[in-house]
Amino acid sequence: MSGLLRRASRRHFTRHPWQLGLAVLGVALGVAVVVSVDLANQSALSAFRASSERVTGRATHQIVGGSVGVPEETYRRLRRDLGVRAAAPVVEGWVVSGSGRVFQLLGVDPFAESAFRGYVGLRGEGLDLGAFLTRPGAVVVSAAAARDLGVGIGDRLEATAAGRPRTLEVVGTFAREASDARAPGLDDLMLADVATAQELLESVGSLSRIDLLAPDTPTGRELRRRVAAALPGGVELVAADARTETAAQMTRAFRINLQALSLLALLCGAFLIYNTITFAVVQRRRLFGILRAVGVTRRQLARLILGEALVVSLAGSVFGLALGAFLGRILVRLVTRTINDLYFVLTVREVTLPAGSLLEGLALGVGVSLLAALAPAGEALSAEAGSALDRAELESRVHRLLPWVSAGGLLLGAAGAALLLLPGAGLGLAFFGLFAVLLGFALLTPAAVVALMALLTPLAGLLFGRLGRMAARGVVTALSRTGVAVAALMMAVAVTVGVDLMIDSFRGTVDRWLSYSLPADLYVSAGVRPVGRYAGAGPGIEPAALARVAALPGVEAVNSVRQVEVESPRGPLRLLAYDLDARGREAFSFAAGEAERAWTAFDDGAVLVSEPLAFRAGLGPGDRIELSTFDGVRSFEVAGVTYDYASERGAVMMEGRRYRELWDDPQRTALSVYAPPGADLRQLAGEVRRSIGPDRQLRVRSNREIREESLRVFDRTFLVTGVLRLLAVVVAFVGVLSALTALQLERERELGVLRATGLTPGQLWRLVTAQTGLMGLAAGLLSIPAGVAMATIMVRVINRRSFGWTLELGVTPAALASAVLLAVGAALVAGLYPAFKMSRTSPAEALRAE
Amino acid sequence: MIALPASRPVAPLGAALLLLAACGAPAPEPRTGRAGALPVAELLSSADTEGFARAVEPREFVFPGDHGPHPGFRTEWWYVTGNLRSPGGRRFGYQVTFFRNELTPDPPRRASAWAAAATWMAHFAVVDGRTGRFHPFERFARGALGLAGAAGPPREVWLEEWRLEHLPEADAFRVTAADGEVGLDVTATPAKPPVLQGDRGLSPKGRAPGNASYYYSLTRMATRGTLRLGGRVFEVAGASWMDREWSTSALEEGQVGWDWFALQLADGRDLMFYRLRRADGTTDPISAGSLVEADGSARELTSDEVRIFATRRWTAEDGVTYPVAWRLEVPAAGLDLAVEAIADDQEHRHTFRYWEGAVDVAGGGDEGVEGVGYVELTGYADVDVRARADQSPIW
Repeated sequence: MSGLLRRASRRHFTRHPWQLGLAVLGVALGVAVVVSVDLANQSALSAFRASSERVTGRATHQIVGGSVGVPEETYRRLRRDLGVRAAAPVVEGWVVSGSGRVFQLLGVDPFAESAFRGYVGLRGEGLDLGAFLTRPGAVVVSAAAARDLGVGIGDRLEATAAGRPRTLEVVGTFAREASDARAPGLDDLMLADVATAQELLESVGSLSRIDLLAPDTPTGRELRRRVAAALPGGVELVAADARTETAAQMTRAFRINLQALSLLALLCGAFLIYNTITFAVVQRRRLFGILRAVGVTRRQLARLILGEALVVSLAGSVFGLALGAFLGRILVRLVTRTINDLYFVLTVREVTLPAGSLLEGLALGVGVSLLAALAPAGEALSAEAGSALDRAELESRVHRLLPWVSAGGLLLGAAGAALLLLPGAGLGLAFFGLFAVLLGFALLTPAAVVALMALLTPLAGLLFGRLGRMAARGVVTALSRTGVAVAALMMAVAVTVGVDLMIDSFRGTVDRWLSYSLPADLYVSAGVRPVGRYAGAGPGIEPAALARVAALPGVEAVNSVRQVEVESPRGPLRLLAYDLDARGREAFSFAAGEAERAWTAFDDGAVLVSEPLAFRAGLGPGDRIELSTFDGVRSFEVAGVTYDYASERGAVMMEGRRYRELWDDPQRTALSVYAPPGADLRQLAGEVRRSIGPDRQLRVRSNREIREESLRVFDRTFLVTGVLRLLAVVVAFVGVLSALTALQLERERELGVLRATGLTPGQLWRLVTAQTGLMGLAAGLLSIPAGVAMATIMVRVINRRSFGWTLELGVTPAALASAVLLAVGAALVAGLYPAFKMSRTSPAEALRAE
Repeated sequence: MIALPASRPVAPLGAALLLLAACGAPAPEPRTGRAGALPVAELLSSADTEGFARAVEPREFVFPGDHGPHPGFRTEWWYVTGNLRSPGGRRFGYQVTFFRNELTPDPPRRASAWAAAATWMAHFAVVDGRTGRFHPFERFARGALGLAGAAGPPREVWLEEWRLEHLPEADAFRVTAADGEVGLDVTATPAKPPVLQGDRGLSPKGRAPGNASYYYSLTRMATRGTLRLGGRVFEVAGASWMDREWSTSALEEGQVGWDWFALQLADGRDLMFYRLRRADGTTDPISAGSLVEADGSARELTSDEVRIFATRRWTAEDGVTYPVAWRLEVPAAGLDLAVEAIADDQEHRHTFRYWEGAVDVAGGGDEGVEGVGYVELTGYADVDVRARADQSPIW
């Protein structure tokens, strides 16, 4: 009997290949989106871990001093006076080759390395260690990188380090075995002697850190105690893995956001599966009735339907995995670029295909499909022997269920809202809340469709006459199909609207912030990109150069800032030390704290913190924050919280003089130059450049250029979000197409009757088109509240929990109008084929069975 | 004496590379056998001597000035070995050696304090005559930032906390080294003036001019101090020997290694002899030594005046075989000595693989003199098995 059932099911689907294809495609698209995002995230994360691993090596602890570094004297003391054997000095930074390739420069002492970075198989490829140690600019790169750069051992390599052009010499390459799986990512590593790295990075006298092997044994703990006691102020002993994790955590919110968006696409896919399976069941109600009559049990029928769902979802999922692996390669580039823009320099050279991600994608695809098939399976179970599950009966049951479904929707929405309002809940819960609210909207959709159609019937009648009214009523009478189709489309469009509004709000906020936070005419920066945790303070602008700029005839005033990383009990923090006049201060806007009082306290040594840091660390005016200075850990009063969208990490801001007292660092990272109105900024920029020094790589930009560039980076950052949104729409579109096709095919007989009663093919075409248009309109209208709700949740809750920024929610009529247009357009396009097919129906054919 | 990394500037450097390659182990595994060993002969055979100072003719030695470094020569070492006893009669041997290797004859001017013109290697070993256990250690550091170097006056050389200091008032040397459970802190006072080896301190190592070293020895130094081992601190006393040598030279074609003997006899005489071995198992006639009388007067020994027979061999786990007992005859001096290692396994298996061990001397022949000493054996781990099999039991 089961063989018979299987054959029956197979024949049904071979007779309806479109239906099967669309179902498989829906699952595939949903799974592909989830898998590709997962792959992109995983690849970026593992590239980051590998790059951390390759520079951290086996070190259990690190001695760090923020970006001002660790005095090299500390290393000598450890090694010579304290007899600490398992310690290795590290000088870290970035070098950009003439061709624009970014290398992580790792300066090491080969004599101290054996215990730490064993992968550096320097033995191979003719390395001359004498040259490595004695020649200025001597570096070692991977054999592959040397090939890419077109250099061999002994060749010179033009590059930029610390903002200055440099000539390097490749004195060797990593041994071939070093590029095996144990040490991926070596292709972006450039190795040099400590001395060479100090000279290239202009950090003579200091180390980025000292690596330490002090495992959790009595001896290791004793060593840690001894070392910690011997460290000077501003220098600390920290656990190595904790540092790597802190950095990995920085991107966590970003990754979770992507993951959640990808799940939304899968959710749209689930609607599609539900629709397809339901349709496949209803279409065969007569067959199932007969099967029941010949003795097939309900259990067997249910198994058949779930089996069908399983096969469809397995096929779709496998197809989706392949598609996802392909999409992942594209996404990983977008994700990496965003991480580079927002967090730290990261190069992903390999897309990893972790079995976990693939299994997860498969499980999600199959699981969601089976869940979606539960309801239709239940429908089939209720089929009475001999009788077909009557279409009319189904519809009336749906209408009876409608209040319950709507109540469920309200309940789910309320639960979601409650989850979102829960104080102190995490990001994951926020996404649960978002999903619940969206599902709530989806459950409310059928009732809303009924109400909307009641409203639209007169309008449709006015526009299309009797046919229009018929179309509107048809939507309601076939609610079991139309409700789901409209809900799926509504979801997709709501996601579009929500994401659009969120990005618009974000962009608008950032744009407004840029417009008031860049009051000066020219901005001069020392040219070194901020590179996250590995950022050295970098060479800055000398006080003498600052004085020369201030003395230029066309300069009214100069403000300056020094950006460094400092250690704190919370891990490394970005510190901005400002020298500001009244005009410069107007560029700051306070999220908390009163401006005038805050600035007075600032002058007296208090600090300001930017919003993301304040949010993450739970800081507000009056709180205190601890920072490691050269004189040990000092506590500072927080005078205010400022809006700042420049960095997701956030920053601590301090008065310049105070910083120089505590850290003894007179340099500046950037200057802002005020010119009198009408000044020739281009000429002034040239003069500023010359007065700072011709050999320095400086970036001198006007406020407009910075603003444009910032917005460009912003748009690039959200490109990946846009791509995901698009994918969700594609999934939904396929869903609507399949729902409408199913719906119209199902109504074959009804439409045959209409044809028989005199409706022309043209009229029938108009009827079907009006109906799909009405459904699209309903979806579009309903997506507005859902989309606005989603945008609100993303802006107010998710963004805040992810990044800590306050964004102004801006709802533009254009975004809403385009949502309605998108929905109607999608529905009409999706309805084209069914309408065409229906209009060609021969009434005799359709009615033959009656 | 000729010590180890006698030439190519990359010798200890190449060694450091191998350390880097030895991934996995938190420290170079001291007993890994060949993996960590460099073929010494190969390292010493080719050498870029361009631009370095050479030992071409005899020079005037001035003390204590010459205890300090001689920049310009590619290689220089301070080699201290000694035999010590605790009051309870427990027998120990120790070795503390510092090697300076110049990387380039004309170092460029550089801004970083880490920029080094020389690298340093040091070996420290203690052997316990009672247990036969040997504790060898090896360290490398650059000659910069105070991590390793030579300074003075008062003259001193150091690598991290290992140190050899000249004490000007007593004209003595203080030797300190420690690693983990093993530590040494002794003062050695010369009992005889420095002995200039070879031709007034110019010691040829091959036939090519300049392939020679400046070489002097302090053959007998009364030594006193403390030795820390296995959680115990021993008061120790005995005799030490210091070899000082600097050169820009290399092993010549056909030479595979050397055997070096430094013996302190109970009658007050000290004997040094180095035998340069050739690939065919024969002794290079250029091999030489010296015999120092109790009053400090010394005379050179040529290779045909000294006869050495191995009487017992010891084989390491991986099959590398060293002689560990010898018959040493100097008929002209009336010496016929039985020399035997106080422990068989005194092999260094770090970057360089060689045997450096404390020995006992039992008198044979007419006078029956006894004594103690140190022996160094190099170039054994690199000879392939066939060549070794072909060697006659007696050279």
